[in-house]
Amino acid sequence: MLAVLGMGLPGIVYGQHQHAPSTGAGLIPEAQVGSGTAWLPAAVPISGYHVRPGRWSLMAHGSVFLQFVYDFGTRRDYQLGSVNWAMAGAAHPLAGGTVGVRAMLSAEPLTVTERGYPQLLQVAQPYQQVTLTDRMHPHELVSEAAVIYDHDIGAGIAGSLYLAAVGEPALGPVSYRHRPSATHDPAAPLGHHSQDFTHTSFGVATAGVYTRRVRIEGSVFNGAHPDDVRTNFDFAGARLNSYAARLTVNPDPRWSVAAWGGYLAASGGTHAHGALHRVGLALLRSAPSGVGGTWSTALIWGADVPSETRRALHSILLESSLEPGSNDAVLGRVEYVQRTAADLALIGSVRPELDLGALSLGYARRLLSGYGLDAWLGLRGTMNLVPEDLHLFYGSRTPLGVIAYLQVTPSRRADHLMPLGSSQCTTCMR
Amino acid sequence: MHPRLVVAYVGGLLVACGGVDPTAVDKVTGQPGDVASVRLFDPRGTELTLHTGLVDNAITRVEVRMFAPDGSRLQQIGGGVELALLFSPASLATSAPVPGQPLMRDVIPTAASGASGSQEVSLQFPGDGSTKFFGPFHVQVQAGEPGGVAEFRLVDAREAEYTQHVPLFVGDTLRLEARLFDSSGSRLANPAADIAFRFEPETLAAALPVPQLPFWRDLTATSPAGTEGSLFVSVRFLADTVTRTYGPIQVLVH
Repeated sequence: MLAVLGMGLPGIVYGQHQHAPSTGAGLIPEAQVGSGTAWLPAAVPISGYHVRPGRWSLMAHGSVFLQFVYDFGTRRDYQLGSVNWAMAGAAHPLAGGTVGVRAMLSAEPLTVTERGYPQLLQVAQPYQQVTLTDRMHPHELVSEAAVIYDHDIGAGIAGSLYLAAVGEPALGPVSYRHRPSATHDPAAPLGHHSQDFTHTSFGVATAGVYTRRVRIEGSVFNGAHPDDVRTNFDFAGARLNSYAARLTVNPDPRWSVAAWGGYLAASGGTHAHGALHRVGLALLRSAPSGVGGTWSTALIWGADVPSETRRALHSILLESSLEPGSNDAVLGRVEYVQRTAADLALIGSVRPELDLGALSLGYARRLLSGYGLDAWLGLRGTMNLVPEDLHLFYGSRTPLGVIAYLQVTPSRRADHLMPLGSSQCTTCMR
Repeated sequence: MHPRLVVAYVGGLLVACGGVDPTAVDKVTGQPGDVASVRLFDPRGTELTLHTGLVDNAITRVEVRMFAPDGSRLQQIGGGVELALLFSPASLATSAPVPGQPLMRDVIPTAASGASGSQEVSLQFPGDGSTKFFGPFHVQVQAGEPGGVAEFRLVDAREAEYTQHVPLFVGDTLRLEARLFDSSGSRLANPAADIAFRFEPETLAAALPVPQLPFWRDLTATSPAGTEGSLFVSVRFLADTVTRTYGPIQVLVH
């Protein structure tokens, strides 16, 4: 998938490229654009391919993990599968601004099956008349299909409009799959459902204004969760019934701080949920480290406040990825989440609310590089922390899980880096 | 990157598949000590664990399903199992056993609509004399529908469901039946009622009666492809002349 995206374009630039070419106003570096309309620290651009034929700006990037997951304990399970995604975008000047289109795809409905992959303590999901527990759902085949328009509206200030048939509202941090701190981590955070779960919403409209350092935006979107068929478009009965707002500040290229709040309307269907308010805060930091290395960290707090109970359910995540050079990566994630008994499909068998934790540590080594791609071999271990209520169900207070993986990403070798804007690259394709 | 590694990697992706099928891990028989959790369902498989809605003029059948710590379902327990539902407050509802179905109870609300409380599941195991309790599970008594009707559905002759969305194709006729169900999920075969179909806008489509089939209608589009609107189905119950309208049901002309 990545090879196709990366190798089909002549004169391609790859390496630590500048991200989605959607910032027509030119106020911010393109590397600052994360998932949806969220901002990343610009200091450490993610790896990808970028080419500028004429006035067009084209980009592609992604990640493919071939992974073996094994969870231990009473609920032991295993799977050989692949979590993966690929994103492509194009931008072109239009009417004094820049219009961009962006698409994101994932083959996960096939490569981890529509039942998802094993992950202890993940939120239970309905699937074909049964409730799946301890599994992370696959992402939608089409996770984003969006049009973005940016235009200067004053000195040092620009406006943007993001319209997505499938996309991400201004609610939550940069989706975990796009965070530099999770670049080599194949697993979803346990707090995914109260932090960045809306990154695949079927119907989003976001308007924002921004300067070089501050972005204010608001969204209306369809608050219904995608159903358990991950290869279709869930537009039946879709309404823009939910709203969100987000303030993001990037005080310097190494930092991005965002705060958000929103309302998700109740929805029916197989993945019905009650109305809730969602708030959160994210601090992202990325900076060069060592010789050709990087160090990226994210601290995220998210909370859901169901309208029915008005009791906040919190989640906190601290994740970091340290790449002291260009060949090694050490990754870690610490999480605290509050789950309801319903989240674990254990109503009536455990307390209504439970405090859970997870400690993950991993290491990845770059094995090979070629054809514009890097291959990383990694191992990640997780120790979950559960209360006594769950001892019976997980076999211990510290159920464990491991993931061994081979990850393929766009190459980030420094000798392949080309200055942004170059449309010729004679050394990239070997 | 080495070509052989690329080939192995792509091959690995192609053969990648899920391990254990979590939808097929039911155990047939367990022991009392294996029962770690229970979940509640109605006869149609709708889960009631989070919320059990009782209709104030109807019986609701509740099935209790037992699960082992690993999440697999236990369909039988060695030595048998006896189920009881304990309501709080006790005035909320009562329940009666279902002959031949030890894990089902027919629940009859005894409180007025709007009342809420909880129920606790008691499982007594004659094999070892032990008892396990699960709960509380939320219960609310809801106002009953006229004629004992709790649910309305639109289906065609092939049992395809159209209750949420009715696609009409220009030049074609779609024959649909309005079906009524009671709170236990049982279909009311010959309800004493009249039905009427209404479209918004009225120019959207037409619904013509079908001779000898009072609950069927032939639907034809009368608007061009791309037109969208709604369908409302009104049911007038002859016993008390109460009319209940179901909808809007989304209609799109193709």
